[in-house]
Amino acid sequence: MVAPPRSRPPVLRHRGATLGLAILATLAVVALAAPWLAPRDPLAQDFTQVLKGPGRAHLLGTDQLGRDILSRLIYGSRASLLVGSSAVLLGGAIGTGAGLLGGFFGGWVDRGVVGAIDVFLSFPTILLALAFVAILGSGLANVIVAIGLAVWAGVARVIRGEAIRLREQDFVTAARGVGAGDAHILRRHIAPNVIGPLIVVLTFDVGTAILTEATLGFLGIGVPPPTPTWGRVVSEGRDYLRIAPWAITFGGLAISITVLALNLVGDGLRDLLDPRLRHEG
Amino acid sequence: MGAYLVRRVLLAIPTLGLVLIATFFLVRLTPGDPAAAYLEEVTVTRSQLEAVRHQLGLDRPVPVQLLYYAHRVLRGDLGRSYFTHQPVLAMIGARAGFTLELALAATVLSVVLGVPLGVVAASKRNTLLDYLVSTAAVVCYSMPRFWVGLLLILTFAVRLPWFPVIGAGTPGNPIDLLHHLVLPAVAVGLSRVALLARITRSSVLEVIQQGFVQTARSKGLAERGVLFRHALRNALIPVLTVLGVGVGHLIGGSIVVEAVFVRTGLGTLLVQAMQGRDYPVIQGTLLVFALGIVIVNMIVDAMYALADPRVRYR
Repeated sequence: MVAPPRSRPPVLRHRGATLGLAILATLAVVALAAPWLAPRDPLAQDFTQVLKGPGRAHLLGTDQLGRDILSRLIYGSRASLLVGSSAVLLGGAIGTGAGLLGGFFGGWVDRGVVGAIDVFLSFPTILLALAFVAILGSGLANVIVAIGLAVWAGVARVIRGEAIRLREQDFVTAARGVGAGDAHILRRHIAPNVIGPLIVVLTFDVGTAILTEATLGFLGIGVPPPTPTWGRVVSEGRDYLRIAPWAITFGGLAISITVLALNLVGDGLRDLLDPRLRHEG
Repeated sequence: MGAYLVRRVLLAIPTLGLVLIATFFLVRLTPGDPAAAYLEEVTVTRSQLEAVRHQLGLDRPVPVQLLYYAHRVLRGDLGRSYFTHQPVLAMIGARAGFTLELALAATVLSVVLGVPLGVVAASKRNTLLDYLVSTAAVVCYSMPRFWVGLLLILTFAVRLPWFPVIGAGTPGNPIDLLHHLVLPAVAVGLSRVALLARITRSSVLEVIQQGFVQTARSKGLAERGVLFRHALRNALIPVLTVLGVGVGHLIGGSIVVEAVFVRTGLGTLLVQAMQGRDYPVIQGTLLVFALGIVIVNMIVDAMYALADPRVRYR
């Protein structure tokens, strides 16, 4: 007797996506278990150990205040993941709401939604985030809101397109025929069917949000000190580029690997959930 | 074509109007009294504050202030910096060139490298080369621009002293300016090279399967001719769109990369103004960025309409 071959979940048949998921799972564990995994206190300064290269005492070296870079990166994953996911939850909620309403109801509602989408999409995310931080001020919550407001329009565009397509489908006409109201159709027939494309666009957006948070941190207008963030590790390391290049190297690697993992998972999910988008960027 | 362009210009007006309103409220919504910020002194008398409030027009109703602001902006008066007390427009004028040349150089770079790489990847589909180009594209796309900039400085300015570390070069010396432009342009453009290569690849692959390409092939045309004369021309339309959408992102990238290379462009001006809460400068720079992006988008749309006549009738 031969055991039947166990089938893997479809997303795991995509090699890139499997790698990406593995990286993200590891990161989530690292962020959650930071107090146990970090070899030292990420804020503890040690002036006898300033700008030490990677070695046995400090695996990834130390910064200009003698702080352990590995510990700072481990704790920094919390800020990155928290800002990335919260900002995208906010932007995703606004974008889904606006996209569903515009696409489903059409008319002046849609014209308003499309107008807002066009205005927002014509500006780069970082510029929008900078503008909102200028209005709201810095701070963890404000950075989350600023990035959320900078990414909602991309979500809204995708969801609006889906809602328009679904609105014309037979099952919606049938539901209307048996007397279902707008609210019921939106909740029961349209919303559940946009979840696939929504997950794809949100996955890419978490990458964008993490890049934006890191960039704000690098520019010195992101999450305020002393919270360690990846962007700040790079930003503080740049002044010691010549003598201690490890700070910027490892800090940037942490950001890049995380965003790469999200892009790989996004590519895999797109192929799986939304084959029509396969040829887009 | 003329009617299309007029319609396109008219469509840009509400966008600019919204941006104008948004930048106006940027200052209104911010905590703190702009008049106090203008005086930048710790202790001011009430009458001093009132005088400045009157001078800045802050004692009038909000809608009146908005109209007053719009009127000033339309006359080209963007106010004065709280700190240097220079006219904002003059500060922007002195720096815009550096940002413009950086965004332009990055655009040229992304087209010159990205499109050929995408064509090569498509023509050698499923080979090691294709795989390498596609992988490199995802990797480049995932790296933050400021990090790419720092790695370039570390490698090509510190370890190998081929390029200057910081600054934008001596004005009036084109060779020096260009020398200072190379690394920042790569830092801004690298992710666009990656994206354009990806888009070109998939676009060429799609076109190659179409009837007219098969016909060209069956006529006995060499593969090179098929690729460049027939496939690429049609494949370039989506590439053009991505390029257009990307100009805004290149400007966004310039903001960050200017900070890395300490180029005194608009991005540096904006970031410094934000760090110092210099609201007239923030307002003015954001307005100019918005205007620039809207104009560029308009030019791209016009080019798009030239390349694909179907666009004009949509």
